[in-house]
Amino acid sequence: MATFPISIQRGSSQHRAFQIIGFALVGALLLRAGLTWNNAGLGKLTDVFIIAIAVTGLNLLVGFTGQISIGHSAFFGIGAYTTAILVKTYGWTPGWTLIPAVVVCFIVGVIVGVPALRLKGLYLALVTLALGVAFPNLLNRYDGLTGGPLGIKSLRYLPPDWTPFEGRKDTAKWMFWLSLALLIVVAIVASNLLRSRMGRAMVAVRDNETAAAVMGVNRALVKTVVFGISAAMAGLAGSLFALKLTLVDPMLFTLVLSIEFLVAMVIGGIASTWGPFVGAFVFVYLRDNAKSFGEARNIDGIGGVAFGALLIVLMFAASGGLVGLARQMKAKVVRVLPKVPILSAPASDTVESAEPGTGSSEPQP
Amino acid sequence: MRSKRWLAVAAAGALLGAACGNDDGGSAPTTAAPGTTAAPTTAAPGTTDAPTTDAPAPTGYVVNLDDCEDPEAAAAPIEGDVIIGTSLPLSGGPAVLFAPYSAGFQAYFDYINAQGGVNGQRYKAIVKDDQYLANLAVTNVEELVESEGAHVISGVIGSPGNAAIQEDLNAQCIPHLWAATGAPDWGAIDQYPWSSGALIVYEVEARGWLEFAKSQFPNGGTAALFYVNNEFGQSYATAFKALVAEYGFDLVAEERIDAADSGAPSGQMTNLVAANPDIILAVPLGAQCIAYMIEEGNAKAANTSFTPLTYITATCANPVFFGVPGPAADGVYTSANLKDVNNADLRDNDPAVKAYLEAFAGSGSSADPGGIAVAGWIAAELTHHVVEQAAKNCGYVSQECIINAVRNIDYVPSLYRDGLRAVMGPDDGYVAEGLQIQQWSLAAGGFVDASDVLNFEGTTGVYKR
Repeated sequence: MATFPISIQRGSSQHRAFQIIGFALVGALLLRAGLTWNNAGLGKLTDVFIIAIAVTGLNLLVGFTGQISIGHSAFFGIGAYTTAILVKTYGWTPGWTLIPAVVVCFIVGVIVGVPALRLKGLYLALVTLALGVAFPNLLNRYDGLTGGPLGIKSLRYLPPDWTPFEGRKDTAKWMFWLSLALLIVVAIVASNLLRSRMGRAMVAVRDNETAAAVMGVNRALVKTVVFGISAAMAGLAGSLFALKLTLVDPMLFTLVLSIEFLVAMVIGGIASTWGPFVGAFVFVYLRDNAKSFGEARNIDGIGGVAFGALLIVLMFAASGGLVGLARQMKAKVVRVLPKVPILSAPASDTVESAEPGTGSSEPQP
Repeated sequence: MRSKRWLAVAAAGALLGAACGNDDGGSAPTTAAPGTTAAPTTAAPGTTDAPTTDAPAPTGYVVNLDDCEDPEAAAAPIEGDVIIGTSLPLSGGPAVLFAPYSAGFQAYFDYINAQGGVNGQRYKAIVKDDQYLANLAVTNVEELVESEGAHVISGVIGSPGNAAIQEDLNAQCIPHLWAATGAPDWGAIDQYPWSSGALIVYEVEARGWLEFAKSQFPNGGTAALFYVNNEFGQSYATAFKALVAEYGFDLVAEERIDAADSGAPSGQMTNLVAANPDIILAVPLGAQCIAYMIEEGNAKAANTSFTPLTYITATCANPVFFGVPGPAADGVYTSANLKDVNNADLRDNDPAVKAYLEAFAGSGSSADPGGIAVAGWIAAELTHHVVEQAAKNCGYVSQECIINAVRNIDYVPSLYRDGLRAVMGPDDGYVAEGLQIQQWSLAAGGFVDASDVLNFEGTTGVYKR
């Protein structure tokens, strides 16, 4: 009779089987949703994917590199406006605008990352806060380019001919699959980045910047490049957001959006590759269900109160995020041992690392 | 790095474009003396008998179903409940002003259902919260149409949210009625025949204020503009700037405030005081209405030579907003096309107002019936009227019959001011083209009429993009 927790070795056939089952389960659920849900349901899941892309970028910066940003709404907005301007002013095909949106946001992210070389904590937060505050005002000021407060409308990305979708009524399906595909790409990029030399440098900078410098890590390069990558992912998400919504206006990119990204990241679990998806999913559905709760009771503002109360409860129940909670629960059933355990007996007490290949990737207090 | 992989995912798509333009004309209004009743037939709230003033279909505007994704669905009779969906700011900052609208909207449909509905068909009104954000309005309407089976979307508040849902609803040929906006592009019936606005057209409001101001300054004078820097405020500003010279005023100052700015407009007020105009058109949003009046009151107290006649837009014409600033609001002008249900005389003597208050009380809502709830009530009443008219014209209720009834409406809503009517037609894309200037009076404890009813019916035509 099996005793719990069952110990399996990372990279073993058992471990692979668990991973394949997990991915297959998630894949089957998404496939079922994509094939059977109506446009309203798909639209909500598309929102989840878009937020997850932005939060993946934020997680690289905050969770894995120890930097802070409360100005990601600006990067998200820059991506959205890049797409909107290229489509409406320059006649670009919407799909191609995703590339310049990413490039522009990467460059802006690198520039914003420069102050991070000298600033930390709240001081760095203040710089990014200024960006988030200034961005909607800049949109209003340069109305010749951005449409000012009226924004830019009619950005619909109709399904291309090579897809099985056709016309406006299939746009929701097209945006669903496009956003899902890009989320998968972004997750692979983030995962591979974390397994690379760069990823180890990021974690080193986060855990002990001085020690990282002593070990030869180029802190300036790491910080600015991660800022750029993080901004690029937010920009990609913003570009998708504009195409899904079919319009942009300054009110959509206020600081509240930055806070929503942070909330989704914390709900899912900081410094976790699954965290952004889980956090975005829970955030969107929790927010909408709280809203429905308020609508059903017809009491002004009760939806927002319910959402806040649920967040507080969630943080008490899962202070390390939902992925952290899931890991704790999973550890009671299955323990994944490092690939090359030194001693078999003590190894059963080894805490499973948060991310494969990154060593101690949980943030230090 | 492997991050290059994502480059392969970008794909080709299509581009939709639209150009803008406005051929709206303007002309002098016709006026009706206060208190005169020029309307042909006025329906009391809840009355299920349709008034006799509608143009019978299909002699007026007839919608073309060829542009619909599913013409058969648009023409098919609606079986069972007529489902009316709306998306409103029930939470978030703008909810301070807009949330009671929901109570009026729902109260009216409850009242009609209690009367038996339309030929035995009842209404199911579903309200969703969008926090005045366009993206949430889109999500809400998708859910309303696809999950709740809404046949009509009605009374959605705000230009951004309405603009975000307009294309989809027109493509699906779902009536998108009585959008709570007066922006000029809601008269674009060629491009968006399934959409209609409900509020006093902003151009009409600007014209009404200038008409009144001219009566106070027959030889002209100077004017200033204060507006919230969003689609709503810019629509007013564009209309005012286009008309100001026509009425003999020089625009000497133009101040803006961001939509999210909830602070006192001190800097803007300093500039307005320096310009010292004879008249001001103020277009704040939500709680900014209060902040503006307080700031202007302070400026007037500190500068005795600063004595402009100030008009604050009808969206602020709410006893709550005018009550909070206290003496600072005394003498400030605004306008309305609906009866003042807070007026004691009307409460006692006007049958429509009495009926409204009784029906609202019967709904069990705790909201103030004297605030913006009236606007929700009127949106619901207009919706009910066109559904009823559709049933009368076609013998059944369908989305096609409803929109034809909308485009040819000629009706006197129960709470419209005497002399005003809700009229549209093939060459008229706006339902509310009249108003009455009113002034907040501390002595009277509310609004008092300051002008005759100014009726610009038919003068704004249709909007061409």
